[in-house]
Amino acid sequence: MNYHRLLHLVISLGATLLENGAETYRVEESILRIFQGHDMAQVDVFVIPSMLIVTVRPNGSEKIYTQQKRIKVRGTDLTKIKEANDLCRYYCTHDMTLDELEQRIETIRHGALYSQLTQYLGHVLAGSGFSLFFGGTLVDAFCAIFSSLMVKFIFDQMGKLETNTFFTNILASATLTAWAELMSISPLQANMDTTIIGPMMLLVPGMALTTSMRDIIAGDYISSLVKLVEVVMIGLGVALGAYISMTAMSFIV
Amino acid sequence: MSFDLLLQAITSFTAELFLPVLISFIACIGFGIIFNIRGKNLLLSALGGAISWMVYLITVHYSNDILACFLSGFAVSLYAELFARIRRTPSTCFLIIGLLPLVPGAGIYYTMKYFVQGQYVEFAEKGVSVLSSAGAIALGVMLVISMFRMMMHISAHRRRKA
Repeated sequence: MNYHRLLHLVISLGATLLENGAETYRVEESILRIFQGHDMAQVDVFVIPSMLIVTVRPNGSEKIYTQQKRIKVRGTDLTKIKEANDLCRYYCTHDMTLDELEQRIETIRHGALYSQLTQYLGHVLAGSGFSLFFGGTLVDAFCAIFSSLMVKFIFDQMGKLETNTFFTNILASATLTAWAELMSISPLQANMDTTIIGPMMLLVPGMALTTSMRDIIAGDYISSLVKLVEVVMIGLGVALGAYISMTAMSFIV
Repeated sequence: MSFDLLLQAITSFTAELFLPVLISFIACIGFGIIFNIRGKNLLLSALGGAISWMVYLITVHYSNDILACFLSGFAVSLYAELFARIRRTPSTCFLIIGLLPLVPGAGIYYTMKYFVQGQYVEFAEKGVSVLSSAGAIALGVMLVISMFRMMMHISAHRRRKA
């Protein structure tokens, strides 16, 4: 058995889970479960949102194998989490060679995303949908379409420039607030509040908030703290962006 | 006369329950696309959002905001855990989308707006109400997840014994 290679594959499976927003306990349990099928004297897994360390010692061997992986970029892709989770269960119940495992992991990592057009459509549905949801009129929802598109565009472009999330959120929030203020003084006379709230829901870090909660329940306090800081920073960014925009517009209007 | 009453009932049902739930379903589909959920799971997770908002609207009619938040958080996480087992999908997939309509987005926005405008009394009032409803949702979710974890441990223990 090539333990170096197995460990490498396990780490990249764990990294796939972590990079797409899985909870800490899910990553740890997945890795532990894979090693259950192998004859191990010791398996230790340490996972925080930005780091992954696995150390194993096979039974009857003096050798200790350890590897770590630093996670830099994290996003949200629930399909990849599901597929990586499925693969892990499949590996435990079926006989799989390491080549097969590697191939399956690669397939998951390069899994398809929705087309760019569908993603824009999703942002519009969510953004203007929530502006209707929070009591907006059809005019407000119509105005929210543009700011939802802007949010998606800003996130894409800023992602390419590798700007930090804090600044990206300030920019997105300032843009959508300014747009709503403009629409409220335009002949359309949109309601400023509901035009802002809908697209602002796109900036709410729902994923980080939920995983942080689940990490607390599982007892992984470090991970939940890291996620919570992320939530607070995003929230501050959004508030700051809206504040800048409102103050600036109050001078102009 | 009774026809009028029926018509009134239908109108109020559409305006107060059906339309909001439909809108939350559509908005949740949008978020499902953003989070790259595919196939049947996309519809099922959006259905979770519709259910959570329906439970909220019905319970808030008979009780207060905080209890309604607690109950709908409870309901949606029950839904998420059940469908996670049926569909063999991590329950986060359903939970994240299902909780979205409950996120006090409007409350957070108004809290911030009152702060910016210097209306500190309204700011404190809104802030406390946002925090307490967020706490109530979290409590409902935590209760269900802890229950399910406990049940899983018990069934795993039994399997090991057998």
